[in-house]
Amino acid sequence: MTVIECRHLEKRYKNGAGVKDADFTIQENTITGIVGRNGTGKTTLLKTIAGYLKKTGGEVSVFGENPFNSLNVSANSMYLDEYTMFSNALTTKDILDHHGRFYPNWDAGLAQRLADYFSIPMKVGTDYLSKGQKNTFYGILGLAARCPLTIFDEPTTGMDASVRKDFYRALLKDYLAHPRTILISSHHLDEIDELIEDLLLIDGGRSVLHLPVEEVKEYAMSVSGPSLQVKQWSDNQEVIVHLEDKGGLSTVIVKNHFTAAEKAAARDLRFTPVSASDLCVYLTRRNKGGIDDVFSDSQHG
Amino acid sequence: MSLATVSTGDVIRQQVIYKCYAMADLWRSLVVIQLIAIIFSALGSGGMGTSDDMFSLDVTTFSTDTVFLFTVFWLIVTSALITSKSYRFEDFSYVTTRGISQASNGILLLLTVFTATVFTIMSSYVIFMTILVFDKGDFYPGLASVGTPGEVYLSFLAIFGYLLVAAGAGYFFGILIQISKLFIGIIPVILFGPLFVRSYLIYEFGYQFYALETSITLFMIKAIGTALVLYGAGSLILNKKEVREI
Amino acid sequence: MLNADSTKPIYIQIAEWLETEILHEKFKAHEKMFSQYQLADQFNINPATAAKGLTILADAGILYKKRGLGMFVTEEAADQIRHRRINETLRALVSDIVAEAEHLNVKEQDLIDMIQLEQSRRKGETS
Repeated sequence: MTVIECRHLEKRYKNGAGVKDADFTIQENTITGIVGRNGTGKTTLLKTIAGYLKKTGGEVSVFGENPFNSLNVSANSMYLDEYTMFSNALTTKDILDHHGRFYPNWDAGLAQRLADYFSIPMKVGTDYLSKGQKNTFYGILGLAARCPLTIFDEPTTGMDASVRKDFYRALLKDYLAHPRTILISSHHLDEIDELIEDLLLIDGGRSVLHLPVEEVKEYAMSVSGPSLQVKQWSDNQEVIVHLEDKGGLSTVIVKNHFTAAEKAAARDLRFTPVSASDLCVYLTRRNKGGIDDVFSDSQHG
Repeated sequence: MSLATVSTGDVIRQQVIYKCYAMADLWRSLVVIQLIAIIFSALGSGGMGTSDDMFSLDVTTFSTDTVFLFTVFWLIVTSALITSKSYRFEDFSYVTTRGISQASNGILLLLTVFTATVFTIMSSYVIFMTILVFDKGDFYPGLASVGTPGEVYLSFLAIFGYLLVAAGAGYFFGILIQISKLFIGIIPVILFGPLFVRSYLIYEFGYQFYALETSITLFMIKAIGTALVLYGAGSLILNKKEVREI
Repeated sequence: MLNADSTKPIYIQIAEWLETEILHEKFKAHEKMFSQYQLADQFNINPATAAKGLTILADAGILYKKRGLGMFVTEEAADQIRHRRINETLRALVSDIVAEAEHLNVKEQDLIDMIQLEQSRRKGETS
C-alpha cells in the first residue's frame, strides 16, 4: 500500500525557498532516510506531508488524502522535531498521559520504560529539559505512539553518541515488532544507513534520488589513477563528479554501470566503492573544487 | 499497520480536556485578578458625606463593578492569548485539524466565560462578608447585590452576555494580530482613537445597543450574536493558516 | 561479526556469515533458517537488508522457501557452499598468494613450506 505520494509537489515561501519539485512514492512499512544539505527543503517537505503547511503546487497525498486539515492524517501520523511544543503547565508525565488519550496504539508501558532508561525527569515541563533530553523525550513519544506514519526530523540533535545509538536501536526493535512507515531526516547518513531501507535525497527543493539504500551504496565507483588514463577511460562513462587533479593523478566518481570488460580494460586504475553518504555529498555539490581551493587563492595570490 | 478511525466529536472532547490542563495557569491568574479587584471593591468604590452640628453621615457605595471590569479585561487578554502561536502549535503536537482546534477553543472560551461569570457573581458575596466583618457601619444592600434568586439570575445573564462579547472580541483581536503585528497598533486606535477626537458616536451606539436594552432576551440574542460573529470571523481566518511555518 | 566499514555490502556479509554457519553445521539440511527479523535484530540492520542476504542464498539454491513458514536449508547446501568456496574464493586467494610470491621472488618450495607451517600451527592451536 502507498502511504505517501508526491507528484511535482511544490511548497514555496515568499523568498523563493522551500520545496520546488518533490516527486516520489513511499510504500507502507518502510523506513526511509531523508537526506540533503541544510536549507534544501527537507523540513518544509516533511511539514507539508504532516499537514502543517499548505502546498503551493503539484500533488501530495498521505493515506490517499490531502494532509492539510485532514483528521485522518493527523490521527495516524506524527511529526517530531526539536521545536515540537508542549504547554509548560504540563509535566513530561502529563504529556505522556495526554498522548495516551489521543493515540489509540499508545504503549504507556514502553513510554515509561524508555523514559526511565534514558533518565528523563518526569516532574518538569519540557522547557526544563536539556536539548538532548528534549529530543530523546520527543523520540520516545514518536516510538510509543506507534502511528502508522511517524516522521522524525533530525531526531538526534543534541543527543550523546551513546543515546543516539540506543535511540536508533529502540526504533529498530519497535519497528521489527510493530512494522510501520517511518521517515527520518538526518545530516548524518552514516548513523542511519543500516537502519533505513530506502534513501530519499533532496537537493535544492527537488527529490533527486530515491532508491533502496543498498543500491545507493553500489550506485557509484571512485576511479583514480594517472590523469590521462582516468580521462580516457571515463570519457565513455557517466561521470558524476570530477574530484581532483593533483600531481598527475585524478579521481572521478562514475556511475556503477560499466561492464566487467570495461573494468578489466582499466588495469592501472584503482576502483573503490563510494559510501552512500559520500555519494550524497557528490550529488549535491554546488561549488566546483573543494575546500582547498578556497585557500589556494589567498596563499598564491 | 491498520489506520485508526477517529471521530471529530471525540477528538474535540480530547482537545478540550487537554486545553483545560494546559490553561491551568490562566485560570489561576483569574483568581488572583479577582482577589485584587475584591480588595479594591471592599475599600468602597464611591463615597459621600454630610454633617451638621449634631450628626456626621458617611455613605460608602460598594459594588462588584471593579471585579466585573477586571474580569472583562482578563477575558480579552486570555482569549487573545489562546490564538498565539505557541497555543495554536501545541494543538498540532496531538491529533487535530484547524476546524477541531477552533471548535475546542470555542468550547474552552464558553467554559471560561461561564466560570468567570460564576466567580464574578460570587465575588459580591465575598465583598458583602468582608464588609460585615470589618465595617462597623450600617449596611443597606442594594438591588441585585445579594439579591433574590430572580435578581441573581438576571445579573448572571447580563454578566455572562458581556463576558461572552469580551471573549469573542479578544479571540478576534488575537487572530488579527496573528495575521499582522500591525494590528497591535491598529486595534487600540480604532477602539480608543475616537475618545481623543471627542467623537463619541460608536460608544453611544454600543451603550444604546447593549446597555439600554431593556429586554434580557433581546440583550442575550445581541450578545450571543456579536460573540458568534467575532468567533466565526476569527475561525474563518485561522482555518487557512499554516502551523509551524519556518 | 559484520563490518560496517568493509567495502562489502552488508547483505553480502550476512549471506557469507550464514554460509559459514551452515558449513559449521549450526544449521543442518532442512532446518529452519533465521528469519529476516531475527537477523535484523541480531545485526542491528533493516530487515529488508537482511532479507536481501537471504534472497541471495535462496537464489543460489542454499535455502528454500516454505510458504508461510520461512526459509529452510537445502539438502545439498553445505556441499554446494564448500564446492563454490573452493572454486571461487580459495582459488582467487591462491592466485593472489602466488602472484605476491612471484613479486617477492619467493621460491615454490618456500611457499609450500610456509603453507605447511601455518597448517601445523593451526592444528597445534585447535588440539
